[in-house]
Amino acid sequence: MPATKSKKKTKAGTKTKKAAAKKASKKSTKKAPSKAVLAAGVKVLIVNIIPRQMSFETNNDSEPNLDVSPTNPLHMAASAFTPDPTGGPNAPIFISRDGGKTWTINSIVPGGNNDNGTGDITLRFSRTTDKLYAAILRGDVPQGTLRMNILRTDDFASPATMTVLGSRDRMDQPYVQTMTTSTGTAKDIVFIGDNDFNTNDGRTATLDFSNDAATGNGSFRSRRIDPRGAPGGADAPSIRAAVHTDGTVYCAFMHFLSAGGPGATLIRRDIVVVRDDNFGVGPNPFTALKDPGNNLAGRIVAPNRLVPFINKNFMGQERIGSSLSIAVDPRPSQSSTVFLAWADRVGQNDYTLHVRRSTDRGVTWSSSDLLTITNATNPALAINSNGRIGFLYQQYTGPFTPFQVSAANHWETHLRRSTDGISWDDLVLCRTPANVPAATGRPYLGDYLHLLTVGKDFFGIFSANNTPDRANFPAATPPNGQLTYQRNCDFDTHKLFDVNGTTRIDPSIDPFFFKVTE
Amino acid sequence: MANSAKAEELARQARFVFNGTVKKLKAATLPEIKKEDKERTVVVRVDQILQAPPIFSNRTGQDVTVQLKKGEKVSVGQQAEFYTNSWLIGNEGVAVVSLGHRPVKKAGAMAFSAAPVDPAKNLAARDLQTHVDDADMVCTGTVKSVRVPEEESDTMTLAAGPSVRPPLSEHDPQWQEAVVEIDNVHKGAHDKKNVVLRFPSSTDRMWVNAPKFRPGQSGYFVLHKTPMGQDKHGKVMAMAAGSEGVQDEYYTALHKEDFQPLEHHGPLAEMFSATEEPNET
Repeated sequence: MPATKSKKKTKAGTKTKKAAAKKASKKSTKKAPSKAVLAAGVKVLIVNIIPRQMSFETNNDSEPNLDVSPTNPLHMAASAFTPDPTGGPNAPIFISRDGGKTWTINSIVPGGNNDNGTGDITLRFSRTTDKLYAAILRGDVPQGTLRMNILRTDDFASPATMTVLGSRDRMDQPYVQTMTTSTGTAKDIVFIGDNDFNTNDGRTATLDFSNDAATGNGSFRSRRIDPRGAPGGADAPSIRAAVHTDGTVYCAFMHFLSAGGPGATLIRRDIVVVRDDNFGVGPNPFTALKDPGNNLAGRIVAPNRLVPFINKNFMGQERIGSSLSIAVDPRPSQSSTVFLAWADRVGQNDYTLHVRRSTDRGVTWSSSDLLTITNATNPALAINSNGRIGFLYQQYTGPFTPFQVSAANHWETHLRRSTDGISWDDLVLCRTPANVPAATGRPYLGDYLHLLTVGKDFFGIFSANNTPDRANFPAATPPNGQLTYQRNCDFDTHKLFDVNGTTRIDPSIDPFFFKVTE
Repeated sequence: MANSAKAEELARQARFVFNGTVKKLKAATLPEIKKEDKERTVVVRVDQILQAPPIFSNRTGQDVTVQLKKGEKVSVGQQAEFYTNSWLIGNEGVAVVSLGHRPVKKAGAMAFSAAPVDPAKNLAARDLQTHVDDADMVCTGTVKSVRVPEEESDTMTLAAGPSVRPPLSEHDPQWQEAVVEIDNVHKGAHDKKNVVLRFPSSTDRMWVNAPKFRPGQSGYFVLHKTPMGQDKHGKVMAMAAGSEGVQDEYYTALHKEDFQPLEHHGPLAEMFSATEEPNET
C-alpha cells in the first residue's frame, strides 16, 4: 500500500471537528429529510458505542437497550446482541462513566455464548443507588430452554460476574424496569415483563417483580396478568411495564384471539393495559383497571387488531410481530397520564404504529391515534420532567414490497416529541440504506430499542447500519448536533477500518447511543 | 508436579497468557478506570504472548492494565507469566483480570511445551479440544436426508384446527433432523450405519450460527446429546436435563463448530488424523 494512502487511513477516526462539520453540513443539506431541522436550543449527541479496540468487528449488534443511573447520570449501561470479543464465558455490556461520550465493554453477564453474547437482554439501574439490574435469556444453556435470569451487580464497572437472583425456563423477552417509592424507606422495586410459556391456558403475559430487589435474591414473585384464557394461542412476546414512584404500575400486553392465514401468522389480538396502585402489593395485584365490556382486569385499549407475526425478512430484512411500549408521566401527582404505542396492520401489507393516551389512569383512551406511523417498528415512549412525551421508532421507507428490499429502501430512526400529544417535532436521528448489510439472522435491527428521560433530557439507543457517513445522521448535524464514532473510520470516504487503522472493515449493524438536550 | 498442575490449571482457565514486565503499580492505561479502582491495578508491558484470542494477539510491546487478585503482589520491573481474562475493552486499550502469575522461566516450560508460533491458534486449538471433549459423539459422514421430527409433524397435524398454535416465540428453533450416513466414528460409540441429529433451522439470532444441513453435505459432525420433549401442541423443545417432560435425548448440532466440511481440511480433520494415525500404521 502506498505510504501516503496508508498515512491517510491511519488517521481515520481522528479527523478534525472543523473539517468533519463542514463536510457533514454539506451532505445533510443534500440528503437529510426536511424535518431534521432542530428546534432552537435543542442539542443532539449521537455516539457509535463500539470501542475503538473492537474496530475489527462486523457483528450484528442489534436489539439494544440502555439506562442512565439516576443517582449519577454520568454512569450509563447499554446492551445489544454482542458476544464477548475474547470468546469468554460471559457476555458484555457497554458502560460509560462520562455521560455517554465514551464507552467500553465489560463482560459481566453470565451465560454468554460466542455467537450473540446472551439471548434477549435489558438492563436498568436502581433508582437510589448505582446497582445495575438485568433480565436476560441465557445463551449457554441448551438453547431452546429459554432460561431467564434476573441479575444484579453493585458495580457495573467491576469485572465481577453479575449475581443471579432468579432463574426460570421457557420464558421470553424479559424487559426490566426499576423504581423506588416516593415515601418511606427507599427500596429497589424491579418489574420484569416477560412471556412465560409454562401454562396451558395461553395466559402467558407475566410480571416478575420484587419490592426489595437489593436484598438477598430479591424474593421475586411472578404474576400472570392476563385474566382471559386463550387455549389456542398465547399472548405476544412483548410485555411492558411502566412504574411511577407513587406505586402506580401499568403493564401492556397483547391478548391472543385467533390465528389464520399462511402458517397461522395472521393473528388477531386485543391491546390491553392492566394497572396496580401499590407496586403489585396486595391480594389481587394488577386488577385495578377493569374493562367495561367484560368486567375483567385489563382495559382493552384497541380490540381485535390484526397483528401479523412473521418471523421472516418481511419489512426489508426485519421480522414483525410484537411491538409495544408504555410510559407514565413521572411527575408527582401525574400518574394518571399514560401513553401507549403498539403496531398492527390497518391495510393489506403494512405494519403500522399507533400512539394513544389516557389521562384518567387508563380508564378511557384517546379514541383515535395521536400519531400513526406506517411501516415502522420498535416503538419506545418516555416522558420527561416537564411532561413532554418522546416517541422513538424506526420506519422503513421507500417502495414497500413484502419480503423484498432494494437500494431505494431506508431505515429511518425518528425521535418525535410533543408537549400536548397533538403537535410533534421530528428529529431524524439516523437514515441508512435498508439493504446493507445483508442480514445474517433475525432480528435485523432488533425486536426492541429503548428511550428514557433524566430530567428534561431524552436518552436512547438504537441499532443501525454503521457506515460512517455524517449525512446518515441528520439530527447530529453541527452546530447543534454532534456525531462520534469510537471505532476507526473515515467520514470522508465512508469507510470503516480495523484497529490497525488500515485494513478495511465491512459495514455492519452497530448500537448508537443518543442524547437530546434543550 | 504440583507446580506443573497449577500452571496447567491456570492456563486452562485463562484466555490471555503472556510474559510481561511490570511498569507501574496502582496505575491503569484506560482513562475509564477511576482512581478508586486502581488500588489493585498495575500496568504491564506485554513481552511475549503465549495464548490469546485474536483481539489480544497483536499486543506484543503494548501496555495493558492488569487487575491483580486479592493478595497478589508484584513489583516494578518484575517479569512474570500472567494468566488473565478480559475485563475492559475500550478506546485507548484493554484491561484484564489476573488469575495468577508465575515466574517466566519455570511456568513457560510447564504450561506451554513449545514456544508458540501463533498464540491465537493456541487458544483456538484449546477451545476446540474442550468442545470435542464435551461432545458425546464425533463422526465423519454424509447427510442423506433432512426432515421435520416425526413426533412433531404427527401431533402438529392433529392439532385442532387452524386457530390453534403453539405459543409464539421469536426464538422458536424450528427443529429439523438430518440423517447422516456414517463413514467413521472418531469419538463415542455408535454401531449403526446412520445417525439422526437435530439442528435448528431457524435464523433467529439465537440459532443463526448453528449448522444448517442439507442432503449431500459431507464432513465432521460434533454431536451433543440434548434432552428434548414436546409441549402441549406437540412442538419439539430442548429441555434442561431432569426437567419434567423430557422424553429422550437426541444428538444435536447447535454450535458453528459442530460441523466442518471435509473439503475444508479444518482443525477437526487435523485433530483426528493426528490422533488416529498411530492406529492406521
